[in-house]
Amino acid sequence: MLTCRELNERATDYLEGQMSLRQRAGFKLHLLMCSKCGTYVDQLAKTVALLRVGRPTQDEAAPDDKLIEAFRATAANSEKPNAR
Amino acid sequence: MAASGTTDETALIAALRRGDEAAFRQLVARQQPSMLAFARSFLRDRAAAEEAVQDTWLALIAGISEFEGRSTLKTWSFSVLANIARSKARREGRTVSFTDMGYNDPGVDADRFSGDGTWLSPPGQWSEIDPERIVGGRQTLEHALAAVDALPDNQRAVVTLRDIEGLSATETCSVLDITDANQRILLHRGRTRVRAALEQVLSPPPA
Repeated sequence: MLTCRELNERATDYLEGQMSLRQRAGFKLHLLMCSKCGTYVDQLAKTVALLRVGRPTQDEAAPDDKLIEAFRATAANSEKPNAR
Repeated sequence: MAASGTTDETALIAALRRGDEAAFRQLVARQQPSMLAFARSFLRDRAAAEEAVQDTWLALIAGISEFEGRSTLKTWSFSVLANIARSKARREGRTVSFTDMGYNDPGVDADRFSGDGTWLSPPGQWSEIDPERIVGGRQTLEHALAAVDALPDNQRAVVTLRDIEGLSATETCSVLDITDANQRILLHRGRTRVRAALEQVLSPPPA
């Protein structure tokens, strides 16, 4: 039987779906009987969901002039062959 | 814009190809913060990391007309960035190991379990994070991101790609040139550290 501590170490494998059917069954059985581990796995999943929100977007005016210049220059060049 | 939608991806590539400056600005604004955090896994110096990100954008501008779409634009740009940052780091005599896992620091302190491996100090409830609406306020997110920034370099790289940017395990392994087993170990350690950092503010375990 999986201990709480062992379950902790396998929690990412569980969330990633990287377990054999047998391992998964053992993991789920433990979760059914142990709400503390249920809370733990749930918090790990919430942590992932929170990170998925992402970093705050930076200002759209942020790309420096050099980058914008390069973008314009490339766009201008690639338009030439199709110029009417 | 959803990163996973193929239609969005196709539209983005088409917009960049026809020189749509707004699309380019939007892409940079959205992806730059993560790219910078990612580059700093390889390069400690902020200016060097910024330069690597800049070089990546220039490579994207130069390559967009020939981009074949064998990977997503996002995965492609992180691959290019990893290569640029890695070679820059090598010139500075610095390398980040993705196989050296270091000592096994558990995501939960060993003394929170009894000798037989059951919880002595179980995790408390996180009332501030509503299961239905996962964003538990800006502060919680900021705290989680600060925890990511504080991760060891290799863990931060993996958590950034997998959890913040939403790359698949396969894409992450290809960007970092690591095995799936290593990817999963780094991901687990990184995630558990971020959870532990959130626990400190949401439900601090009794000292």
